[in-house]
Amino acid sequence: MAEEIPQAQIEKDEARKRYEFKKALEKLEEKEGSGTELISLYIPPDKQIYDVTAQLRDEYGQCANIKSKQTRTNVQSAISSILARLKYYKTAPENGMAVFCGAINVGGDKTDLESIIVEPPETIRTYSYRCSSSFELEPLKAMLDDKFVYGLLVIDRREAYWGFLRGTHIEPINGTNSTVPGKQRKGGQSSIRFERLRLIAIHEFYKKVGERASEAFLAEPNFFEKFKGLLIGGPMPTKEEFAEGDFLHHEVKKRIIGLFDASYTNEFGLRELVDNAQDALRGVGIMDEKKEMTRFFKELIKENGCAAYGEESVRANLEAGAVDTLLLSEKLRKARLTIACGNCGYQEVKTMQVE
Amino acid sequence: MAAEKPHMNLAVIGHIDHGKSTTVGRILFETGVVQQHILDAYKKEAESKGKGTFEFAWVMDSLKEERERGITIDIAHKKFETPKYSFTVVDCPGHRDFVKNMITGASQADAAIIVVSGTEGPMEQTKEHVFLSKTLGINQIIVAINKMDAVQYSEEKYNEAKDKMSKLIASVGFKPAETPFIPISAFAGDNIKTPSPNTPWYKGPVLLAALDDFKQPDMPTDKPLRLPIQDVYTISGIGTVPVGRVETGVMKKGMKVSFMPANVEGEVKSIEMHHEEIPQALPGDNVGFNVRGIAKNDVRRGDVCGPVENPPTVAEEFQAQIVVLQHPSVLSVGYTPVFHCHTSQTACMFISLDKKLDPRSGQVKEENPAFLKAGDAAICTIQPTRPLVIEKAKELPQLGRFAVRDMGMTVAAGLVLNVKAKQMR
Ligand SMILES: Nc1nc2c(ncn2[C@@H]2O[C@H](COP(=O)(O)OP(=O)(O)OP(=O)(O)O)[C@@H](O)[C@H]2O)c(=O)[nH]1
Ligand SMILES: [Mg+2]
Repeated sequence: MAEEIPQAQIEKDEARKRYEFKKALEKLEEKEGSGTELISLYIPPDKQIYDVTAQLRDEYGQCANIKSKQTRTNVQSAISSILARLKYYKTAPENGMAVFCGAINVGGDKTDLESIIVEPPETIRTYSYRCSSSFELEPLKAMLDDKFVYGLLVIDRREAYWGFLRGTHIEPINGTNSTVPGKQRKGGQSSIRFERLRLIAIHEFYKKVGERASEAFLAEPNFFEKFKGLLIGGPMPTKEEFAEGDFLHHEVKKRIIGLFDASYTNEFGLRELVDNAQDALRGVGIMDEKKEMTRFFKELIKENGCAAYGEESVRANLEAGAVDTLLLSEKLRKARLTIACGNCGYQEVKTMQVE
Repeated sequence: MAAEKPHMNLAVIGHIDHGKSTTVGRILFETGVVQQHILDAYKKEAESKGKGTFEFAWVMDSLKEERERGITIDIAHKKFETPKYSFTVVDCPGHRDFVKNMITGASQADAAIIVVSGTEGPMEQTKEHVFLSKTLGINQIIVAINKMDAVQYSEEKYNEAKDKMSKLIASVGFKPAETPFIPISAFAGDNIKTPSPNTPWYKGPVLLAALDDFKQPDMPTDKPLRLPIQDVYTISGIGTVPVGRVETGVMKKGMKVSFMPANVEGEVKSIEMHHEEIPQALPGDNVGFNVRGIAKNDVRRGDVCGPVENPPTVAEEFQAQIVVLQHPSVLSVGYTPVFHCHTSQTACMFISLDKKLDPRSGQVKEENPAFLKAGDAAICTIQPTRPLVIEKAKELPQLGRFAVRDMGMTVAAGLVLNVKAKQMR
C-alpha cells in the first residue's frame, strides 16, 4: 500500500540530504593525491554506462605514456577500481553520478586507494573525466548555491543599508549616511528656507541610496533569473516615499515585493526586515528554519515542554522513538565511534569531534 | 547678568499620543520661551491642515513629516528656566519605530517627566520607556498624568492611573513614595504653573514646582573626559562639528582629543553650546565642537571622544551582568541583538552564558546555564560585531550600562563588569 508522504516531511528530508551532501563534499575537498592521479568522473543520467567504460579502458591504455612509475600504477589501479564499481550499474541513477577515485595521501609516505560514488541532489548536465592532484568538485558545489536571492534594503532619513537574502543567510552589502539636517541644526535659518534645503537633501539622499543599492543588486550574476524580489524596510514615512519615487533602477523597482516596518536602518535592520516580512517570504529557507527554532525555544521554556537539547538527552529520546523533529546545526561535525578490544571484549561508544 | 543657575537635562517620555510634545510646548509657553502669537500662528496653520489641537506640539514637532502625521519622529532640544534651574528639555518620540531615537534622548538626561494619558493609563511604550530610563541612568522622575480635562478631572481616574504607574515604576527600582504624580492637562494648562481649581482634591506640587524639587545631579569632573558623539555636521566655513553631551570629565579649548573606535586624533578648536562659544564643557553640557585634524567621514555617531592620553576603551569583548526583561522565547549563546550603549547601536553576540543569578539576592544559582528566559539575571560574555566603546560600570557608569533590543522591543538591560580591551595603536 502506497502511503502519502506529507509535504513537510519531504522538506525535512531535503534538508537532511542537503546536510549530508554538504558534509560529503567537505570530506572530499580535504583529500589530496601526490601527483596528478586523482580521478573525477561526472556521468549525466542519459549517458550510456558502456560508453563510459569504453573510454575508461582507452584511458587505461594511454597510461602507459605516464613517465613516473608510481603515478602510472596509481592511475591504472584507480581506473580498474572504477571499472569494477561501474559493473553494478546498468544505467546511471536519476540525477547521474559523480565518481571520485585515487590514491589519497594519508600521512607519512603512505597512500590509500579510495573510491567514492556520489549521487547528487540535482542533475549532472555534462560528462567529464579529469585527472588532477585534488578532486574536481565545482559542479557539485554549484548545486549548493541558492537558486534565488532576495534584495533587502532598509532606509530612514539618517541612514540606509542593503544586502541579500540567500536561502538561510542574510548577506549585508553596504550602507550609507545622509546629510539631511535633523531638528538640532535648525539654528537661525528661516523655517521655509530650512524646509526647502531639507527636502533637497532628502531627495539627494534617496538618489544616492537608489543608485548604489540598484548597482549592488544588478551586479548579482544571472540577476534576471535569480533576483526574486526586493523587500524594503524602515520606519514610516521614509520607505514609502523612497519606494514610490524614481530612485531605484527600473528593473529593481519593478521587483519590489513589499514594504515592511523596521525600526533600525543599519545592518541589524536587515534582520528586522526579514523578520517582519515573514508572510511575504513563506517557504523561503530562512523562514522555515526560524519557525522550527521558535517552536523549539517555546517548548524549551515551558515547564513540561516537548523540547530536548544536548546530545545525551536527544539521543535518549531518539532511542525511545520520541522525536518528531530533529534540529542539527549545519556546522555539526561529530562522529560516533565504537571502540572494541579484540582480546577482552571490552567495548566503549563515544562521540568525537571530527576536524 | 545673574549668577548662572545649575543646569539639568530633562527628557520627556511616554507612550505615543499621550501628550509629551504638548507638555513641552506648554512648559515653554508658561516659562515665556514661546510667545502667544507664535502659538496663534501654529493654531491657524494646524487647523487648516485638520490638526486643530496640535499648536503646542508644533513648538517641538517642527519637521514637515511630523506635522503631517501629528507624531514626533526625531528628538528635539529646547532651553527653559525655572527659579532654580536652567533646563535643556528633550522631547522624545513615543512611536515604537522610533524608540531608538528616544534612547538617544534619554541617554543624555539627568531626569525625566513620564507623561501618561489619564484616559488610557500606562501602555506598551510607557512601560518600555520607564524601563529604559532607569537602565540609561535616570534616577529622578516625575509622573505627569495628562489629559485630565478629557476625564472631567476625575480623582478616581487619577488614582487609577497613579496606582498602575506606581507599580510600574517600582518594578524597575524607582521609589513611588518619593515620586510626584501630578494630574495635568497640557492642553488646557492645568497644574503646570499654578494649582488648578479643577483639581481641588490634589494637594501636591504643580509641574514647574516639582521640577525645582529635583536634586542637582553630580558633576563627575574628576573622571577622564567621555563625550559620546550623537551627530556629526559639516558646516561650511567651520568644518566638521561633532555634537554630543559630556558624560564625564571636562573638555577644554586647545585640548588634544582622540575619537574611538574611529581611532583618530585632533585638537579642540572651539566649543559651542546653544549657539554661544564657551571655553570649556562640563558634564551634562550638550555641545558642538570643532576639531582640527579630523575630516568629515572620520567620526560618526556612536564614537566617543576622550583625552589622547586616556582614550575611550574599545572592547574586544566584555563581561556584563544582565536582566532579561521580556523575551518570547529564550536567549542562548550565539544570540545577536542590538545593544544600545551611550549613543551607539551595535549588534553584539552572546558568546557565553557564565552564571545564572538569583534576581533578588544576586547569589549564583547555576553555572553555565544553557539558556536564559524572561525574569532571569545572569553574567554573560558578549562580543560586539563591530568595534564599540564601552567601559566598566564601576569606573564610568555613564558608559557602562546598556539596553538590549530585538524584535521591536527592549528585551534586557545590563551593566559592564569587565572589558577585554582591544589594542588600538
Ligand atoms: N484633551 C487633551 N488632549 C491632549 C492633551 N495633551 C495632548 N493632547 C492631544 O493629544 C494628541 C497628541 O499630543 P502630542 O503632544 O503630539 O503627543 P506625543 O506624546 O508628543 O506623541 P508622540 O510624540 O507621537 O509620541 C494631540 O491631539 C494633543 O492635542 C491634554 O491635556 N488634553
Ligand atoms: Mg511628540
